[in-house]
Amino acid sequence: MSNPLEQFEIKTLLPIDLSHYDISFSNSSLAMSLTVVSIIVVFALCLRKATLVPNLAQSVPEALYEFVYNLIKNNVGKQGLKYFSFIFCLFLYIAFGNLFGLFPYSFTFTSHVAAVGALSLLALCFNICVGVYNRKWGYLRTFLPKGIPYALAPLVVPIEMISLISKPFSLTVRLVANMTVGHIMLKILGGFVVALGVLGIVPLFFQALIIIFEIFIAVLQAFIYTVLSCIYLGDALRSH
Amino acid sequence: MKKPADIEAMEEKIEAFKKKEKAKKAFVKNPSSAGSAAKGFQLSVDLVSGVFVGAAIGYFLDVVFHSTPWCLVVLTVLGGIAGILNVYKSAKAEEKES
Repeated sequence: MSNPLEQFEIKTLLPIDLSHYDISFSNSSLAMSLTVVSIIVVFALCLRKATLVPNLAQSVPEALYEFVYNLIKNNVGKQGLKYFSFIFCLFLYIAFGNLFGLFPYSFTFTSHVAAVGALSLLALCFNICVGVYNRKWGYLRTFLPKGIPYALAPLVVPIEMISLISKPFSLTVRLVANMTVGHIMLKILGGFVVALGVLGIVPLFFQALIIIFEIFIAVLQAFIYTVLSCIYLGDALRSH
Repeated sequence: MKKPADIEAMEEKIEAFKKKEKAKKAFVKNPSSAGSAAKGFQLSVDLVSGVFVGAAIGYFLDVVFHSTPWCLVVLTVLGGIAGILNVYKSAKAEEKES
């Protein structure tokens, strides 16, 4: 149990083999499912007795809703509100996934490049589809901003293309690195607490502080992911 | 003169509600008290990711076209430029926000 990377190991819970593709139900899948279920349960419980004047429980989902609504309005504009549900789901999924991973014996699926990378690629495809749907051929202007001479096109077009493709990559790396580092740090400090015996109270104190910090980081990273998705969506919707 | 009990209770309720509304507004208004460290980390990842993605695409093209190492060299350089462009863009967006 001393290996701090052991917590990120994927274990197969229910082996499923679909024509030589391994689509087994793993502990990562379980964590994702539980995250979605917890979102639904929290929202259902909070909005059980919805009134016009919100009570305390009801004001939590409403604050989240307004928060994401304002985020989209500021970063994408009024036309971006059509895609509210997508951004809202993205925010809730990552925020709850990060927080879920902080519980003892749970699994942090947001610390896996495969999970977050797939989500980021999905967001990129969504952005491209939205851009093409709204601007038709005008979307190709993304790769050659106005005011740039055509002689420079062979240089600018590949640069803009790489810039577009590197966005999901940087989104993924940011979230994954933050989650992985935080959990490794917690694990190592936890090891100190056990190894030092009575003196372990000192690392335990730091551990408590770092857990609070990790809760903050979990929400902050979800927020950053959402803001950047909004900015990329805004880029797709309008020309430079 | 002493106020009737029910009016007093109502006033208390109104006060509590006002406090709650205020807290909610403060949260919605300023959720982006994101730390500077997070912003700095974001820019550094933006810068590096361009190089990585450029190199990856270059390597892939090399494998496809058997043109080692030309695509890798050219696309790594272009990726570096794209990374700088990314940082410039996010810095400009940041500036517009503040």
